[in-house]
Order: sequence, then structure tokens, then C-alpha cells
Amino acid sequence: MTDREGDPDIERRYAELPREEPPRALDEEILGAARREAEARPAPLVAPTARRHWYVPLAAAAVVVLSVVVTLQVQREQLDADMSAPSVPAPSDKGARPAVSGTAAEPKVQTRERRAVERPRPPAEPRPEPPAASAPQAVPAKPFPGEAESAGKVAAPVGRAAPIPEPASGVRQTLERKEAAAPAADALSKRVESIEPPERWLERIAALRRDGRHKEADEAYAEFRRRYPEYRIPESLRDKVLPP
Amino acid sequence: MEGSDEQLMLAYRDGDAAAFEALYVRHRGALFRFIARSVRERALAEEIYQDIWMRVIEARRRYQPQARFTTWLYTIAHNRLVDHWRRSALHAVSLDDDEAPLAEPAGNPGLEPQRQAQAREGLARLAQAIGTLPPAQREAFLLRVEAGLGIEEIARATGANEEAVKSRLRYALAKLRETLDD
Repeated sequence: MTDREGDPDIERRYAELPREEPPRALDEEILGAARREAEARPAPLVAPTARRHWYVPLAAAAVVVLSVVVTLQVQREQLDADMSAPSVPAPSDKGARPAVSGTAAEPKVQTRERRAVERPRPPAEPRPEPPAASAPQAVPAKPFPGEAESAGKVAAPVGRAAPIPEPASGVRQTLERKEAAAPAADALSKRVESIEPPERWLERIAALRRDGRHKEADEAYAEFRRRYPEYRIPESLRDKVLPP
Repeated sequence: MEGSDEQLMLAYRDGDAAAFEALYVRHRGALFRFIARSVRERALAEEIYQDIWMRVIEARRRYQPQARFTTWLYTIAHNRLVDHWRRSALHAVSLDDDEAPLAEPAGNPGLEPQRQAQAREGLARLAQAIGTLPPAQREAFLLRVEAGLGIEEIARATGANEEAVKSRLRYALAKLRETLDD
């Protein structure tokens, strides 16, 4: 017997049997219950069926995308650390460590520590305006504005340290990164300043003396002598640089 | 109200009571006869019939048109009948028990009195033969002739495989044919 097969004669005779129907009272009872149900508990705005249709694939896609993004981010950070650390020339600064190592949080801590160590000697900073030297405190808390500030600060020393191209490219790479950019740039700028050519250093000290900031000039000169103990100051600069 | 059964049920799920009314009118007679000829007691048939529709109403929020509405409705009916038989062990009771018999066949009023009597007798024999069929065969037969379900849909509604359904239908039709030919 196939699905359409049957016995037409029996089906015809069956159709002649009395057509019992439910009583009207029962109909009314059922229809009343259906109406009450429809009024009492309206269907949700998003039907369960429809919600189930997109909910699971969307959730799965979100999990996959999130996993990929996090993985790529971690890989990029590691790559940044690998790329930026070797590009920084080993400075004479004994407290210096690689700009980025391991996690993104670590360099921030290092930078903070370094800043605390360096705070007692602000005149050693190569910037002519001291207020600008205290600006990096915004770096850890505000990544994006901090990036811009770091970029501005780093650009100047790099321009002055033209004969040393490697830190400049390192700085440029660092600026493109989000997480490690601020602390790495900060560390680099200090290192670039610390390896400033002696002629420029002396010019800066002379400028400080010219401005009457002899205390800062003395400290800068002392730092200069620690850095370049054998350097012979030209006669033309001697009066302008040496303590009066 | 126009629309397929499935569209009406979806409309009811979304709060349209009129859609349920249209759906109910379409299926009330066939479902009631299916129940009445399965349990053969009118009061019990009405109770089970009402219970089935209440289950439909309660399940409206979970309704998904994965199969025909008719198949879904008769699946609920089958389950309710199984519950009934299990609870009262009626499946062991003789199906000849006419405690509250359903309406007698009326015959065809256009025929002569003698032939009318013969026709009435034939229909009565058919009704009785349906009542004496084993429950599974009777259910398959009623789902076929009352609900208009195909083999696959009967199998789905009753939880049986298609071969079993074919076999039940074949036996049921053979017995009914035998009764009518006597």
C-alpha cells in the first residue's frame, strides 16, 4: 500500500456515518479559554522561534570574533615588545630596562619607577621649558591623548639627535602601537636625551646660564661631567658654561 | 479568516484570538469524531476533546511550524489518548462495551425503505467493526479517514514507523472489508 492507496468504498461508506460534533457549550468554553489566554499573556515582541534562529549563530560568531581579536592583540603586543626592545641603543643609564617586556602593564610600572628616580634632577632634561617635562603623567591613564603627547615630545629629541637614526625609527614604530606606545616612547625620549651630543649639551647649559638659572645649569654641568669626564670644553664656551 | 493552519496558529501565538477561532472551526468536527470513535463514550470523549484543545492553547507560545498543524494537533490527541488508556487501563477493556453508544447510522433518505434499512444496517456494521478494531489499527484508520493524514504523518503522530502504520492500515481495511462483504 502506498501513501495514496486506500479503500475508496470503505472511505465512502465511512463518510455516511453520523457526523458527531462537540456541543456548542463546549465550543464556547474552549474559545473563551483561548481568548483569555491571548489577552492575558500576549506573545513576546520577539517570538521565541525567531529569537532562537539568530541568537545562537550570533553568539557563536561573537565568541569566535572576540577570541580572534584577543589572540591577535596578544600576538601584536608580543611582536611590539620584540621589535622595540632591540632598536633602543644600550644607554649609559644604569636604571634603564627594555622599553616593553612581557605584558603591557609592566612597562608602565617601569616608567613610573624611572620617573620617580629621575624627578630629583629635572635640569638634566634637555627641554628648555620645565613644565612640559612633567606632562607624561597623563600617559598611563589616557592612552590615546597620551599617545599624542608622547609623539610630540619624542619628535623633538629625535630631531636633535639626528646622527642616531635607530632610536627615531624605534620611536616611530612605537607611536603606532596602542598599548606599549606611551611607556616605550617615554623611555626612549629619556634615552635619546641622555645621549645628546656634548656640544648641544653645553649649548643648553649656556642657555640656562644666560637665563640666570645657574642652579639648574650647575646640575646639568655636573651631569655632563659625569657623562663626559674627558671632554674638553672649547674656549669660546668655557665662560658661558662653567660656574661663575 | 484566510490562511493556512500554520499561519493561523502563528497568528494566535502572536495574540490573535480570531485566528484560533478559525482554526478551531476547521478541526473541531474531525477531532471530536476521532476521539469519540476511539473511546466510544460521549462524556469521556468531550472531556478528552476539551483537554486536547487546552493543551493546544497552552502550547501556543512554543509552537513552531515544523510540520503540518494537523499532524501536531493529532500528535497531542494521540498522547492524550495514551495517557487516558494508561491511567484507566482501558486498553485492556473490551471495545464492544457500549456503555453510552454514539449516534446510530442514519442511512440515506433518498433510498427506498427496504434499501434504506439495508444501508443503515451496513453502516451500523461498519461502525461496530471500527469499534472492534485493535486500538492501534483503529487509530491509524481514523487518522487516515478523519484527519486525512498520510502514512508518514500518521507515523509521526503516533510515534510508530511507517511500515508499522502501513501494516495497521492494511489489517484494518481488510477487517472492515470483510465485515461489509458479509
